[in-house]
Amino acid sequence: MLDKFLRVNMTSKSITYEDVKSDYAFFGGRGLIARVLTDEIDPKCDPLGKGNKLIVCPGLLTGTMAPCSGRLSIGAKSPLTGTIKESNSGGVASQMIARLNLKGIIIEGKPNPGELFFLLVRAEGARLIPAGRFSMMNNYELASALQKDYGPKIGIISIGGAGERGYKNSSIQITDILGRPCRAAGRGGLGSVMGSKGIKAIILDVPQTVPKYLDQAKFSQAARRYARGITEHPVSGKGLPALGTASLVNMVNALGALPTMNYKMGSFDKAEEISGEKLAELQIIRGGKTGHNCHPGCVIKCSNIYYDENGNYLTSGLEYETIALNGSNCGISSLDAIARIDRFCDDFGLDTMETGCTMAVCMEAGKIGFGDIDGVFGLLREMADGTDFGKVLGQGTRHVGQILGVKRIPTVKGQSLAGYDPRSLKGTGVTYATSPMGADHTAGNTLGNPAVDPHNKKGQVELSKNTQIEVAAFDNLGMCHFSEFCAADPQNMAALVEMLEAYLGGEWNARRLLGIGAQTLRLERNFNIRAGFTEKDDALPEFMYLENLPPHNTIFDIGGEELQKAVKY
Amino acid sequence: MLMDYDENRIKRITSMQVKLYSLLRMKYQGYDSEKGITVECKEQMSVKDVFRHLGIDEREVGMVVLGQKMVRSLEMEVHEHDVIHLFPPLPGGG
Repeated sequence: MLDKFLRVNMTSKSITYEDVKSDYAFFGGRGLIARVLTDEIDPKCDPLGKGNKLIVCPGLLTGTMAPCSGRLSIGAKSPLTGTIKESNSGGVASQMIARLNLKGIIIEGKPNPGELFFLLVRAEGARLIPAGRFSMMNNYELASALQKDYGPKIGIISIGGAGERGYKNSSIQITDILGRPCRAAGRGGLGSVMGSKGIKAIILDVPQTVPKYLDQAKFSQAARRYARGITEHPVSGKGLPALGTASLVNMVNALGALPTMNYKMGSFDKAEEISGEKLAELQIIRGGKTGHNCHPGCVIKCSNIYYDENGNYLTSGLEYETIALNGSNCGISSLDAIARIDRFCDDFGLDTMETGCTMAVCMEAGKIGFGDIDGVFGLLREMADGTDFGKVLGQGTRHVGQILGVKRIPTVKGQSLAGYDPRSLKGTGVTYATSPMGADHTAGNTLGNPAVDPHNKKGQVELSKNTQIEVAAFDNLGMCHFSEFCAADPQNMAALVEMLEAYLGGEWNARRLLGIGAQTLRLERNFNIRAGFTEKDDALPEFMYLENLPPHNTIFDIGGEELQKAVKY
Repeated sequence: MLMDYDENRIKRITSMQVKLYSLLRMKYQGYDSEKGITVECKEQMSVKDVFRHLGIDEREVGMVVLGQKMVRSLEMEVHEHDVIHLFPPLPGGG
């Protein structure tokens, strides 16, 4: 079990290793972030001020042989939402941090204006290295420079220009198994929190180590069984590896829930052109790849590597949310254009989802036209150049919509919606409204559940609540949500429980595991209440309750008291 | 992929369209994503009958959409001019 924190104070520049308190033992990833922020920061603090803390941590099973357990959690109070925030990513960093026996890295305080550092973390210790000359360098160039200086095997967690500029839609990028900074902790503007701490990058230079199991034979056997459970499940073993998350474009479109023209319609007549099927067809010819793993140890491999029309690498991890929000939601039907937007966002360090919704709001305002690819790149360049309007764009969808006088602003608690219109996927709508994270697809997406009609309100609150608890539990483990489907089979759940017992100790069962998820949600919700949020903030944008969504003419019809049942974790 | 039909029983040729996605599409070499697959309708033909006709195992299908509504029962009847969309099991996310 990981038992040290690395604490870096950017005011005093002190670096300390400290023992993890025993009552933190069963908090990992998202749950650990909730606990540390609850214990250590004032929920009313300025997110970009001295009082906020940035926490980077693996999950409870990260670093072990558990399949799909290398997800990374990054958290802080969000400058975008003002709520507690955990953003989750693939890449190589999480397992590297676990190999250093670190339960988490806590970055606190605030340096003098203009100071910028790398945090170099090795087995023998950590140190801050002045990085002023790398200021405003973007993620791809930065990764290449650091790999030249520190070797090709390092892991990098970095920010581009957006994070340094303090943009509330800025991401933190993480290198993947090929050393590219293409995996993103995108949501909530955490890049600007890292920027406010004066950290340009965390460089992980870590040797291979073997984790300390309580019972290695039992763990290994259970891990193999669980991996088999994942690969034999029809979704995680077949549907996802085939075309990845991009295969959802056609499915969500067929359900009438694909955000189109700033959530004006639920289907896009050119969906086929931006679909996973089209992506695979292009990449087979160009030399790109589907079936790519987002982190070592993943047995699902639902990501991709996207090559451009000349057969050169363009971007990686062109996922469903990016395609939906920068494609159909902006009226853009060119997959190559969406891939270029994705590359720009990864490089400059922007959340692709917030960016797509911001562009669509600009289109609604008439700033640029729907489908105007050159217009989008013009606005992206304004953000990179830091023009006055570029700085406004960097404040996220809600602020841009308010400034441009747009009435239909698709945000909850200040965060833009994901790639599912909640009027035709009502369970996910309940999650958008009630999640402590603001509107978010990773907080409990109910898509694909065969038991509940997505257009009908019946059963949605219960479904959303249960899904929110399940994903929060897996976010504690550091395991991918897609590795969760097979746990519905009691034999696979037994294997998961055995892994927890053989690594963490004590007696485990499904109830205790889900209890961790519920505990996380309670901590997060209480944090938000202390930050000043009330039940009134648990609501979708007004137009979703009033405006019928074609083609089914659905509206969101789950209101106040009913919604509140979803937060009785 | 035309269905056998009894000319004496059905006087008029009626057809519907089946659209396949992801893994299901990969099974059909030369599948045309615009046209899909045309299937001739029989009276009282169900979604399940369409599966059988196309040689698709129920377990390969995660979701059926007809008229942009999720089909809850495979016993549901299909009619002339219907377009049904068949998806393999897929989750939400990205």
